[in-house]
Amino acid sequence: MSSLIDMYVAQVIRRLPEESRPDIARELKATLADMVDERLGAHDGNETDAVRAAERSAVEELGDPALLAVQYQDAPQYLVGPELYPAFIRLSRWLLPLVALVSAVANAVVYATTSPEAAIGGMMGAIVGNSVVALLIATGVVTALFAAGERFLPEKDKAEMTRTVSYGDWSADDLYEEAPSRRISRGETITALVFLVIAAALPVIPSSFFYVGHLNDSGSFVNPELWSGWIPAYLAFVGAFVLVEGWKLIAGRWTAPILLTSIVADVAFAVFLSAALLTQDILDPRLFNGNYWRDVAWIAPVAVAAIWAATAWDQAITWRNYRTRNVMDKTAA
Amino acid sequence: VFHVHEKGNAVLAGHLQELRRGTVVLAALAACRTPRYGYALLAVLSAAGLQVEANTLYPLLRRLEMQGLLQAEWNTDESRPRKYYTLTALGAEMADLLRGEWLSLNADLSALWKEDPR
Repeated sequence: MSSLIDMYVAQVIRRLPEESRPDIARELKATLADMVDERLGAHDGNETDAVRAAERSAVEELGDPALLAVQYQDAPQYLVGPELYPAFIRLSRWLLPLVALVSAVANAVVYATTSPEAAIGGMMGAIVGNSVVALLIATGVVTALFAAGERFLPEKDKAEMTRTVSYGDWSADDLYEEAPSRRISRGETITALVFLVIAAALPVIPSSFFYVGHLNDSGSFVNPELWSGWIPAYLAFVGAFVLVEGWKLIAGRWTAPILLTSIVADVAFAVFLSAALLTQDILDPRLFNGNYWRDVAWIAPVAVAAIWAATAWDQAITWRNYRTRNVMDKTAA
Repeated sequence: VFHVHEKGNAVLAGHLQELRRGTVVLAALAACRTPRYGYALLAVLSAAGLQVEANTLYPLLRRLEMQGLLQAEWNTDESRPRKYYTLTALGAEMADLLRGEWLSLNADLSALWKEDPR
Protein backbone atom coordinates (compact mmCIF):
# COMPACT_ATOMS: atom_id res chain seq x y z
CA MET A 1 0.00 0.00 0.00
CA SER A 2 2.46 2.67 1.15
CA SER A 3 5.32 1.12 -0.77
CA LEU A 4 6.57 4.39 -2.31
CA ILE A 5 6.98 5.91 1.14
CA ASP A 6 8.67 2.82 2.50
CA MET A 7 11.03 2.69 -0.46
CA TYR A 8 11.86 6.37 -0.08
CA VAL A 9 12.56 6.18 3.65
CA ALA A 10 14.62 3.03 3.18
CA GLN A 11 16.77 4.76 0.57
CA VAL A 12 17.40 7.72 2.84
CA ILE A 13 18.37 5.80 5.97
CA ARG A 14 20.46 3.31 4.05
CA ARG A 15 22.99 6.14 3.69
CA LEU A 16 22.92 7.17 7.36
CA PRO A 17 24.78 5.88 10.42
CA GLU A 18 23.17 2.85 12.01
CA GLU A 19 22.28 4.50 15.32
CA SER A 20 20.36 7.40 13.79
CA ARG A 21 18.25 5.27 11.43
CA PRO A 22 15.19 4.29 13.50
CA ASP A 23 14.55 7.81 14.74
CA ILE A 24 14.88 9.45 11.34
CA ALA A 25 12.88 6.71 9.62
CA ARG A 26 10.02 7.14 12.05
CA GLU A 27 9.96 10.90 11.67
CA LEU A 28 10.15 10.81 7.87
CA LYS A 29 7.38 8.25 7.66
CA ALA A 30 5.10 10.34 9.85
CA THR A 31 5.90 13.43 7.81
CA LEU A 32 5.26 11.74 4.50
CA ALA A 33 1.99 10.35 5.87
CA ASP A 34 0.97 13.88 6.89
CA MET A 35 1.90 15.17 3.46
CA VAL A 36 -0.15 12.45 1.79
CA ASP A 37 -3.15 13.20 4.01
CA GLU A 38 -2.95 16.86 3.15
CA ARG A 39 -2.85 16.07 -0.56
CA LEU A 40 -5.76 13.67 -0.38
CA GLY A 41 -7.77 16.27 1.52
CA ALA A 42 -11.44 15.74 0.78
CA HIS A 43 -10.68 12.67 -1.29
CA ASP A 44 -11.78 9.33 -0.07
CA GLY A 45 -8.65 7.57 1.23
CA ASN A 46 -9.72 4.36 -0.46
CA GLU A 47 -9.08 5.47 -4.01
CA THR A 48 -5.82 3.67 -4.74
CA ASP A 49 -4.87 5.88 -7.67
CA ALA A 50 -5.33 9.07 -5.69
CA VAL A 51 -3.26 7.68 -2.81
CA ARG A 52 -0.56 6.62 -5.18
CA ALA A 53 -0.49 10.05 -6.81
CA ALA A 54 -0.37 11.75 -3.41
CA GLU A 55 2.53 9.55 -2.29
CA ARG A 56 4.34 10.29 -5.47
CA SER A 57 3.94 13.99 -5.04
CA ALA A 58 4.99 13.81 -1.36
CA VAL A 59 8.26 11.94 -1.95
CA GLU A 60 9.03 14.18 -4.90
CA GLU A 61 8.66 17.21 -2.66
CA LEU A 62 11.32 15.82 -0.35
CA GLY A 63 13.49 15.18 -3.39
CA ASP A 64 16.37 12.83 -4.12
CA PRO A 65 16.89 10.52 -1.10
CA ALA A 66 20.67 10.70 -1.61
CA LEU A 67 20.62 14.49 -1.26
CA LEU A 68 18.39 14.35 1.81
CA ALA A 69 20.77 11.84 3.37
CA VAL A 70 23.67 14.20 2.65
CA GLN A 71 21.81 16.96 4.51
CA TYR A 72 21.55 14.65 7.52
CA GLN A 73 25.25 13.81 7.47
CA ASP A 74 27.46 15.70 9.89
CA ALA A 75 30.70 14.39 8.39
CA PRO A 76 32.35 16.74 5.90
CA GLN A 77 31.27 16.13 2.32
CA TYR A 78 34.69 17.00 0.95
CA LEU A 79 38.20 15.57 1.16
CA VAL A 80 40.18 18.65 2.15
CA GLY A 81 38.50 21.72 3.61
CA PRO A 82 39.45 25.40 3.37
CA GLU A 83 41.67 25.34 6.49
CA LEU A 84 43.97 22.66 5.14
CA TYR A 85 43.65 23.51 1.45
CA PRO A 86 46.53 26.06 1.34
CA ALA A 87 48.88 23.57 3.01
CA PHE A 88 47.68 20.84 0.66
CA ILE A 89 48.36 22.97 -2.42
CA ARG A 90 51.67 24.23 -1.09
CA LEU A 91 52.94 20.77 -0.31
CA SER A 92 51.75 19.38 -3.65
CA ARG A 93 53.46 22.20 -5.52
CA TRP A 94 56.76 21.32 -3.91
CA LEU A 95 56.46 17.61 -3.63
CA LEU A 96 55.10 16.59 -7.02
CA PRO A 97 57.79 18.24 -9.19
CA LEU A 98 60.38 16.86 -6.79
CA VAL A 99 58.93 13.36 -7.06
CA ALA A 100 58.82 13.66 -10.85
CA LEU A 101 62.44 14.83 -10.99
CA VAL A 102 63.79 12.24 -8.55
CA SER A 103 61.83 9.47 -10.25
CA ALA A 104 63.01 10.53 -13.72
CA VAL A 105 66.66 10.69 -12.65
CA ALA A 106 66.50 7.46 -10.64
CA ASN A 107 64.80 5.57 -13.45
CA ALA A 108 67.22 6.93 -16.05
CA VAL A 109 70.19 5.83 -13.92
CA VAL A 110 68.69 2.43 -13.14
CA TYR A 111 67.81 1.90 -16.78
CA ALA A 112 71.20 2.99 -18.05
CA THR A 113 73.05 0.75 -15.60
CA THR A 114 70.87 -2.35 -15.77
CA SER A 115 69.88 -2.59 -19.45
CA PRO A 116 72.22 -4.75 -21.50
CA GLU A 117 71.91 -2.28 -24.38
CA ALA A 118 70.50 1.12 -23.39
CA ALA A 119 68.41 2.84 -26.07
CA ILE A 120 66.47 6.12 -26.10
CA GLY A 121 63.05 4.48 -26.57
CA GLY A 122 63.46 2.08 -23.67
CA MET A 123 64.80 4.84 -21.44
CA MET A 124 61.87 7.16 -22.26
CA GLY A 125 59.49 4.31 -21.53
CA ALA A 126 61.13 3.58 -18.19
CA ILE A 127 61.19 7.25 -17.18
CA VAL A 128 57.67 8.19 -18.26
CA GLY A 129 55.97 4.97 -17.18
CA ASN A 130 57.52 4.83 -13.72
CA SER A 131 57.29 8.57 -13.11
CA VAL A 132 53.57 8.59 -13.87
CA VAL A 133 53.08 5.82 -11.32
CA ALA A 134 55.27 7.67 -8.79
CA LEU A 135 53.26 10.87 -9.30
CA LEU A 136 49.97 9.05 -8.90
CA ILE A 137 51.16 7.40 -5.69
CA ALA A 138 52.51 10.70 -4.31
CA THR A 139 49.25 12.48 -5.13
CA GLY A 140 47.24 9.68 -3.53
CA VAL A 141 49.33 9.61 -0.35
CA VAL A 142 49.25 13.40 0.10
CA THR A 143 45.50 13.53 -0.51
CA ALA A 144 44.83 10.62 1.84
CA LEU A 145 46.94 12.21 4.60
CA PHE A 146 45.15 15.54 4.28
CA ALA A 147 41.74 13.88 4.10
CA ALA A 148 42.59 12.03 7.32
CA GLY A 149 43.80 15.30 8.89
CA GLU A 150 40.55 16.97 7.83
CA ARG A 151 38.58 14.33 9.73
CA PHE A 152 40.69 13.69 12.81
CA LEU A 153 42.48 16.95 13.60
CA PRO A 154 40.73 19.24 16.10
CA GLU A 155 39.41 22.46 14.52
CA LYS A 156 41.90 24.53 16.51
CA ASP A 157 44.87 22.62 15.11
CA LYS A 158 43.55 22.89 11.58
CA ALA A 159 43.27 26.67 11.88
CA GLU A 160 46.75 26.75 13.40
CA MET A 161 48.14 24.71 10.52
CA THR A 162 46.81 27.15 7.95
CA ARG A 163 48.46 30.03 9.80
CA THR A 164 51.89 28.49 10.19
CA VAL A 165 52.08 27.07 6.72
CA SER A 166 50.90 30.04 4.75
CA TYR A 167 52.00 33.01 6.80
CA GLY A 168 54.05 31.93 9.80
CA ASP A 169 54.15 34.64 12.42
CA TRP A 170 53.86 37.25 9.76
CA SER A 171 53.94 40.88 10.70
CA ALA A 172 54.40 44.13 8.81
CA ASP A 173 58.12 43.91 9.68
CA ASP A 174 58.45 41.05 7.22
CA LEU A 175 57.67 43.29 4.27
CA TYR A 176 60.77 44.01 2.24
CA GLU A 177 61.68 46.58 -0.32
CA GLU A 178 60.91 45.09 -3.70
CA ALA A 179 64.10 46.67 -5.09
CA PRO A 180 64.54 46.22 -8.83
CA SER A 181 63.62 42.63 -8.46
CA ARG A 182 65.78 40.87 -11.11
CA ARG A 183 64.56 37.67 -9.64
CA ILE A 184 65.99 34.47 -11.12
CA SER A 185 63.30 31.85 -11.14
CA ARG A 186 64.41 28.64 -9.46
CA GLY A 187 62.62 26.57 -12.10
CA GLU A 188 64.65 28.19 -14.86
CA THR A 189 67.93 27.47 -13.08
CA ILE A 190 66.98 23.87 -12.40
CA THR A 191 65.97 23.38 -16.03
CA ALA A 192 69.33 24.79 -17.06
CA LEU A 193 71.10 22.35 -14.71
CA VAL A 194 69.21 19.41 -16.20
CA PHE A 195 70.28 20.48 -19.71
CA LEU A 196 73.88 20.84 -18.51
CA VAL A 197 73.84 17.28 -17.20
CA ILE A 198 72.60 16.12 -20.60
CA ALA A 199 75.29 18.27 -22.28
CA ALA A 200 77.97 16.67 -20.10
CA ALA A 201 76.72 13.22 -21.10
CA LEU A 202 76.74 13.98 -24.86
CA PRO A 203 80.35 12.89 -25.54
CA VAL A 204 79.84 9.54 -23.80
CA ILE A 205 76.39 8.51 -25.03
CA PRO A 206 76.96 5.35 -27.08
CA SER A 207 75.61 5.35 -30.63
CA SER A 208 73.60 2.23 -29.81
CA PHE A 209 71.43 4.49 -27.64
CA PHE A 210 69.95 5.87 -30.85
CA TYR A 211 69.91 2.50 -32.57
CA VAL A 212 72.96 3.07 -34.80
CA GLY A 213 75.45 1.12 -32.67
CA HIS A 214 76.34 -1.19 -35.55
CA LEU A 215 78.06 1.67 -37.38
CA ASN A 216 80.89 2.21 -34.91
CA ASP A 217 80.75 -0.71 -32.46
CA SER A 218 78.54 1.29 -30.06
CA GLY A 219 81.21 3.92 -29.61
CA SER A 220 80.34 7.54 -28.84
CA PHE A 221 78.94 9.83 -31.56
CA VAL A 222 81.87 12.13 -30.98
CA ASN A 223 85.14 11.59 -32.77
CA PRO A 224 87.34 9.69 -30.24
CA GLU A 225 90.39 11.66 -31.36
CA LEU A 226 88.92 14.76 -29.70
CA TRP A 227 89.54 13.30 -26.24
CA SER A 228 93.09 14.58 -26.56
CA GLY A 229 91.99 18.11 -25.69
CA TRP A 230 88.73 19.34 -27.19
CA ILE A 231 86.37 17.15 -25.14
CA PRO A 232 88.05 17.86 -21.76
CA ALA A 233 87.83 21.58 -22.59
CA TYR A 234 84.16 21.12 -23.48
CA LEU A 235 83.54 19.39 -20.16
CA ALA A 236 85.38 22.16 -18.35
CA PHE A 237 83.00 24.67 -20.00
CA VAL A 238 79.99 22.62 -18.88
CA GLY A 239 81.45 22.48 -15.35
CA ALA A 240 81.89 26.26 -15.39
CA PHE A 241 78.26 26.71 -16.46
CA VAL A 242 77.15 24.45 -13.62
CA LEU A 243 79.04 26.71 -11.21
CA VAL A 244 77.38 29.80 -12.71
CA GLU A 245 73.91 28.23 -12.39
CA GLY A 246 74.71 27.28 -8.78
CA TRP A 247 75.72 30.87 -8.15
CA LYS A 248 72.43 32.07 -9.68
CA LEU A 249 70.50 29.57 -7.56
CA ILE A 250 72.11 30.82 -4.35
CA ALA A 251 71.95 34.52 -5.23
CA GLY A 252 68.37 34.28 -6.49
CA ARG A 253 68.71 37.65 -8.20
CA TRP A 254 70.58 39.02 -11.16
CA THR A 255 73.58 41.02 -10.05
CA ALA A 256 76.13 42.80 -12.21
CA PRO A 257 78.88 40.19 -11.55
CA ILE A 258 76.53 37.31 -12.40
CA LEU A 259 75.36 39.09 -15.54
CA LEU A 260 78.90 39.78 -16.66
CA THR A 261 80.16 36.26 -15.88
CA SER A 262 77.29 34.65 -17.68
CA ILE A 263 77.69 36.81 -20.81
CA VAL A 264 81.46 36.20 -20.93
CA ALA A 265 80.97 32.44 -20.41
CA ASP A 266 78.25 32.23 -23.09
CA VAL A 267 80.30 34.09 -25.68
CA ALA A 268 83.48 32.16 -24.87
CA PHE A 269 81.60 28.89 -25.21
CA ALA A 270 80.13 29.97 -28.56
CA VAL A 271 83.65 30.86 -29.78
CA PHE A 272 84.97 27.51 -28.54
CA LEU A 273 82.19 25.51 -30.21
CA SER A 274 82.58 27.45 -33.47
CA ALA A 275 86.31 26.76 -33.50
CA ALA A 276 85.70 23.07 -32.78
CA LEU A 277 83.06 22.74 -35.46
CA LEU A 278 85.00 24.56 -38.13
CA THR A 279 88.41 23.00 -37.51
CA GLN A 280 87.67 19.46 -36.26
CA ASP A 281 85.70 16.41 -37.38
CA ILE A 282 83.26 16.48 -34.50
CA LEU A 283 81.35 13.31 -35.27
CA ASP A 284 82.89 9.88 -35.35
CA PRO A 285 83.85 9.37 -39.04
CA ARG A 286 82.97 5.67 -38.75
CA LEU A 287 79.30 6.70 -38.55
CA PHE A 288 79.59 7.94 -42.14
CA ASN A 289 81.70 5.20 -43.70
CA GLY A 290 84.62 7.58 -43.65
CA ASN A 291 82.98 9.97 -46.18
CA TYR A 292 82.81 12.62 -43.51
CA TRP A 293 83.05 15.79 -45.51
CA ARG A 294 80.94 14.67 -48.40
CA ASP A 295 78.03 13.62 -46.20
CA VAL A 296 78.00 16.10 -43.36
CA ALA A 297 80.22 19.00 -44.25
CA TRP A 298 77.17 21.27 -44.39
CA ILE A 299 76.44 20.59 -40.70
CA ALA A 300 79.35 22.65 -39.37
CA PRO A 301 78.42 26.10 -40.77
CA VAL A 302 74.71 25.54 -39.99
CA ALA A 303 75.57 24.52 -36.44
CA VAL A 304 77.82 27.55 -35.99
CA ALA A 305 75.06 29.88 -37.21
CA ALA A 306 72.58 28.18 -34.85
CA ILE A 307 74.98 28.47 -31.91
CA TRP A 308 75.45 32.20 -32.43
CA ALA A 309 71.74 32.77 -32.91
CA ALA A 310 71.01 30.90 -29.68
CA THR A 311 73.74 32.78 -27.83
CA ALA A 312 72.44 36.14 -29.04
CA TRP A 313 68.88 35.22 -28.08
CA ASP A 314 70.05 34.06 -24.67
CA GLN A 315 71.89 37.34 -24.05
CA ALA A 316 68.79 39.30 -25.07
CA ILE A 317 66.66 37.38 -22.57
CA THR A 318 69.26 37.68 -19.83
CA TRP A 319 69.53 41.40 -20.44
CA ARG A 320 65.75 41.80 -20.37
CA ASN A 321 65.53 39.89 -17.08
CA TYR A 322 68.27 42.04 -15.63
CA ARG A 323 66.51 45.21 -16.72
CA THR A 324 63.09 44.17 -15.44
CA ARG A 325 62.09 46.36 -12.54
CA ASN A 326 59.65 45.23 -9.94
CA VAL A 327 55.92 44.90 -10.45
CA MET A 328 55.08 48.24 -8.87
CA ASP A 329 57.32 50.12 -11.30
CA LYS A 330 55.58 48.42 -14.16
CA THR A 331 52.14 49.37 -12.92
CA ALA A 332 53.30 52.93 -12.28
CA ALA A 333 54.49 53.24 -15.85
CA VAL B 1 21.97 40.60 -23.51
CA PHE B 2 20.08 37.44 -22.68
CA HIS B 3 23.31 35.84 -21.53
CA VAL B 4 24.09 38.71 -19.16
CA HIS B 5 20.56 38.56 -17.86
CA GLU B 6 20.84 34.83 -17.21
CA LYS B 7 24.08 35.32 -15.37
CA GLY B 8 22.57 38.16 -13.34
CA ASN B 9 19.73 35.89 -12.30
CA ALA B 10 22.12 33.18 -11.17
CA VAL B 11 24.15 35.70 -9.16
CA LEU B 12 21.01 37.08 -7.57
CA ALA B 13 19.79 33.59 -6.71
CA GLY B 14 23.15 32.84 -5.09
CA HIS B 15 23.12 35.99 -2.96
CA LEU B 16 19.51 35.49 -1.93
CA GLN B 17 20.31 31.95 -0.87
CA GLU B 18 23.28 33.15 1.18
CA LEU B 19 21.13 35.82 2.80
CA ARG B 20 18.36 33.40 3.73
CA ARG B 21 20.51 30.50 4.78
CA GLY B 22 21.40 31.90 8.17
CA THR B 23 17.88 33.05 8.97
CA VAL B 24 16.44 29.53 8.82
CA VAL B 25 18.03 28.62 12.16
CA LEU B 26 16.59 31.69 13.84
CA ALA B 27 13.17 31.00 12.32
CA ALA B 28 13.23 27.37 13.46
CA LEU B 29 14.25 28.34 17.00
CA ALA B 30 11.55 31.01 17.12
CA ALA B 31 8.90 28.57 15.94
CA CYS B 32 9.96 25.97 18.51
CA ARG B 33 9.18 28.19 21.49
CA THR B 34 5.93 26.27 21.34
CA PRO B 35 6.46 22.48 21.14
CA ARG B 36 5.86 21.46 17.52
CA TYR B 37 6.53 18.52 15.25
CA GLY B 38 8.24 18.87 11.90
CA TYR B 39 5.27 19.03 9.62
CA ALA B 40 3.48 21.55 11.84
CA LEU B 41 6.66 23.65 11.90
CA LEU B 42 6.69 23.72 8.11
CA ALA B 43 3.10 24.95 8.12
CA VAL B 44 3.81 27.62 10.76
CA LEU B 45 6.90 28.89 8.94
CA SER B 46 5.07 28.89 5.63
CA ALA B 47 2.11 30.76 7.15
CA ALA B 48 4.59 33.35 8.47
CA GLY B 49 5.86 33.80 4.92
CA LEU B 50 9.14 31.96 5.47
CA GLN B 51 9.59 29.41 2.72
CA VAL B 52 11.68 26.57 4.14
CA GLU B 53 11.98 23.33 2.23
CA ALA B 54 11.11 20.14 4.08
CA ASN B 55 14.40 18.55 3.07
CA THR B 56 16.24 21.48 4.67
CA LEU B 57 14.15 21.70 7.82
CA TYR B 58 14.27 18.08 9.00
CA PRO B 59 18.06 17.70 8.91
CA LEU B 60 18.33 21.16 10.52
CA LEU B 61 16.03 20.17 13.39
CA ARG B 62 18.16 17.12 14.00
CA ARG B 63 21.35 19.18 14.02
CA LEU B 64 19.87 21.69 16.47
CA GLU B 65 18.82 18.78 18.66
CA MET B 66 22.38 17.39 18.61
CA GLN B 67 23.71 20.86 19.52
CA GLY B 68 21.41 20.89 22.53
CA LEU B 69 19.37 23.87 21.36
CA LEU B 70 16.24 21.83 20.83
CA GLN B 71 14.87 18.99 22.84
CA ALA B 72 12.86 16.32 21.07
CA GLU B 73 10.22 14.02 22.44
CA TRP B 74 8.13 11.38 20.74
CA ASN B 75 4.41 11.72 21.31
CA THR B 76 2.61 8.46 20.70
CA ASP B 77 -0.79 9.51 22.02
CA GLU B 78 -2.07 10.52 18.63
CA SER B 79 -2.88 8.21 15.74
CA ARG B 80 0.52 8.85 14.26
CA PRO B 81 3.74 8.98 16.35
CA ARG B 82 5.19 12.48 16.21
CA LYS B 83 8.47 13.96 17.21
CA TYR B 84 7.90 17.23 19.07
CA TYR B 85 10.70 19.79 19.26
CA THR B 86 10.98 22.35 22.08
CA LEU B 87 13.55 25.03 22.84
CA THR B 88 15.94 24.09 25.65
CA ALA B 89 17.21 26.72 28.09
CA LEU B 90 20.41 26.92 26.04
CA GLY B 91 18.36 27.17 22.85
CA ALA B 92 16.26 29.99 24.29
CA GLU B 93 19.37 31.88 25.32
CA MET B 94 20.94 31.43 21.93
CA ALA B 95 17.73 32.39 20.13
CA ASP B 96 17.74 35.66 22.09
CA LEU B 97 21.34 36.38 21.14
CA LEU B 98 20.69 35.59 17.49
CA ARG B 99 17.59 37.72 17.47
CA GLY B 100 19.58 40.60 19.02
CA GLU B 101 22.14 40.21 16.26
CA TRP B 102 19.43 40.18 13.63
CA LEU B 103 17.81 43.34 14.97
CA SER B 104 21.13 45.13 15.18
CA LEU B 105 22.03 44.13 11.62
CA ASN B 106 18.64 45.33 10.50
CA ALA B 107 19.11 48.68 12.24
CA ASP B 108 22.62 49.09 10.84
CA LEU B 109 21.50 48.33 7.31
CA SER B 110 18.52 50.68 7.59
CA ALA B 111 20.80 53.45 8.83
CA LEU B 112 23.23 52.80 5.98
CA TRP B 113 20.38 52.90 3.51
CA LYS B 114 19.24 56.30 4.84
CA GLU B 115 22.69 57.87 5.10
CA ASP B 116 23.68 56.92 1.60
CA PRO B 117 20.68 57.65 -0.60
CA ARG B 118 21.12 56.95 -4.26
